[in-house]
Amino acid sequence: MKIIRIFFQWLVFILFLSLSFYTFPKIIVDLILGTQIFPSFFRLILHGFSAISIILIFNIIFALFLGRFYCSFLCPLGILQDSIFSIYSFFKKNVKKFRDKNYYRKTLLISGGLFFIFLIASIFNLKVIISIMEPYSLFTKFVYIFDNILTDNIKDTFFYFIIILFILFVLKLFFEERFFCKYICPTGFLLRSISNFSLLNLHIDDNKCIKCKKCENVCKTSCITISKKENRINNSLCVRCFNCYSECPVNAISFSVKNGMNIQNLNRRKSLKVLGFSFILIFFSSLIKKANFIKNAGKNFKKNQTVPVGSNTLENYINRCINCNLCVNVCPTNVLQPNIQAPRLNYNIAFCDYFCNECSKVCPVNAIKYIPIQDKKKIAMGKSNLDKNLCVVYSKNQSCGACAEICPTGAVHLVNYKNNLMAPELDNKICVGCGSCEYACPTRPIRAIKVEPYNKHRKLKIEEQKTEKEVKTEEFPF
Amino acid sequence: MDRREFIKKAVTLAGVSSIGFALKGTPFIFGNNKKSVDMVAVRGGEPDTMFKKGIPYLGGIKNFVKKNDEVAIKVNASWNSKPSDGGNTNPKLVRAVAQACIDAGAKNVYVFDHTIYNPDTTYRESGIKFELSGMKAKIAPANNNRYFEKVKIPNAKILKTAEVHELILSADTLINIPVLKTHGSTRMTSAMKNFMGIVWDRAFYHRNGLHRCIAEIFNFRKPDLNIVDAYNVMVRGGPSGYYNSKIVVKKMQLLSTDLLAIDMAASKILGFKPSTINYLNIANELNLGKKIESINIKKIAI
Repeated sequence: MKIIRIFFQWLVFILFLSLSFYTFPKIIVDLILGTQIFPSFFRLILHGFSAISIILIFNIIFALFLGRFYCSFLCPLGILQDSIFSIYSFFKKNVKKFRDKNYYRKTLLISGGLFFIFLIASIFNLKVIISIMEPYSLFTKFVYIFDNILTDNIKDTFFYFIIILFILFVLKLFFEERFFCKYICPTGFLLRSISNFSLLNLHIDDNKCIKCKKCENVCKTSCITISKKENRINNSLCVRCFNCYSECPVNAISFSVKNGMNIQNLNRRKSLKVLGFSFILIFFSSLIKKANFIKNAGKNFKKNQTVPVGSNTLENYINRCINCNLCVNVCPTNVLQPNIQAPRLNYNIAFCDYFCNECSKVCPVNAIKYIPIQDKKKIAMGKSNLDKNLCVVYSKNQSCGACAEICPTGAVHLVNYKNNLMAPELDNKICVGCGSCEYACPTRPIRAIKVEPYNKHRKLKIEEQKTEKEVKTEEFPF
Repeated sequence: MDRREFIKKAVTLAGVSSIGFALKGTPFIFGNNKKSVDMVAVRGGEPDTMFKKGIPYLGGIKNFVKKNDEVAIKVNASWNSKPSDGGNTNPKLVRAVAQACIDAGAKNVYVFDHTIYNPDTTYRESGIKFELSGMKAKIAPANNNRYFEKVKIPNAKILKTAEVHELILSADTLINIPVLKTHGSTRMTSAMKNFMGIVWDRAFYHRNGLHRCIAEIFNFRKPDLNIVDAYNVMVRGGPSGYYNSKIVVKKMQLLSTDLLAIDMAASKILGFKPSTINYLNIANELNLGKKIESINIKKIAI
């Protein structure tokens, strides 16, 4: 069982890693990301029922049958924690287990409280809290950090904030295995309340047990207690890693349907209370989120920021985005930069590639809706404004034309200005607001040509360009 | 080298050159007793065959690439356009040049360009990545500031310092393969304009006098060989060719060591007077090469 888990974990881990570095078809990306509970849940309430929601339902059914199966098999952050810890324990044997008298109660209360905070944050669009607590978003942020360290990409201030978080996280990992899953993870809490009622559970056969306490040592979440009086497994905390199952020398541990004595710690009534509590909370918070109770969501987001094609409006984008930064990871030009509210397009660093729709392929919550490349070419995020007092050509009478050179649609084009000098001219009917002109403009510190975002993206009538072709055989003119 | 080895080599050299002498029509590989050729103009063939026909008149690729040399090939791969659209250097030509360098015994062959659009897509769209796959030649990255080094440019008025690509400093042989296009503000982009892609901060050029900067970078280092790809010539809508563009298939190629002469010839292919292009006048001032009137051109039609 353990070997199957480890094999599966590597598979899932590689899949999630490769999402950030390779381009997949939209369906496969959806299939991979659909396994994540909260992103697909947000997608369900804000976007209605779709194929991804079926995976979510399957996830819940799995939880009812197998318990916290998700934590060990599908959660990329859990797998990351496991792999870091296995490296750590390779160098240091006998890692201490942190557990005191009120261990179960403590984990339940802390994670429950944080779950409550998480829901409030998701209602009020507090992206910092959401993106730190949601395991999948946290994982993509770590990928972002590694990507930045390895490839030396362009960094924003938000980067340093995440790196501090990362250090804290790793340090805590070294002290305690699966710390995040036990105390912080909102998905963990949700699954925990469900898995109290799971059909299949781990059991210790008291007759066979020789009290060697090996299972207690290998347990990831310290949910096994072996004492002289009784053996207990807290199945709500158990992440189904099957370490104990393969470690037991006498095969006393079984994974089966049995309502024996050793399902303990929370009696039925208490666990029903927890389940009901969390479901009522989720129900109401999703209702509030769906009704879009908090209207001015983009208040903290600068109004002069352009939002990527596919998000349609700023409000839509801010409301739906969970700030997981996967779009930042896949952006080939690095124009999408991480920000506290949601990734933003930074035209000082780069420009949005007219021939690319990578970010719209990967969004797990449909904040950036998928748009085929031929449709993307016709949607305007904004329009450009030219300040002739700053422009090199108009103010200095020098030839430049950097903006017209790079413009993909011909919205900025060169016209004859003064004795053989070519000057840029704007045609905002075909400007898509990709920011390439702003990026290329050489004037500093303020750029002469700037993109002004639209509140709502517009559809333009841009004709498909065709190159005229002619074959000519001629002599050399020299 | 001891005496025996010397005699062996001398005999083989004499043998090879006499074979070259004996076969009529093939150019001489060793020692050209005629007037030396400054520029070769080829027309009528595919890009790679034109290169193979043309390069022997300049003394063969061995004249430029010695054994165990590091070769840097500056191509134009800035745009998301297919080979037939003429926005980028023809991939077949790039392959032929890279293969010739490898055959001449080059240790490393690098193809590089500080692209304007995202290099991953431009190298793929231009077909250069496909043509170079499975070869010893590599595409050197140039999309990050750390691949560039700050250098001082001698005898410069405006461009006193520049961040140039590290290959410009390290390569033994520098080959320049531009594609001939029109250009919005400088009218033409060819061999000289192509070297704008070796610097990191292109905005500096635009800000402080485009024409002068284009010429002044060559005070630092000139390419050893220029090959102008004029197979698909963009006569309108350059340099990107994204809108309102026109391609004329002229099937031409120019090869020269002389920077100014090759650009003057290229401007004539496009139908411009060389004097109307400002950076050519500045290049003449800075003595970057000879004028087209005073050089010996070998014309070949295939």
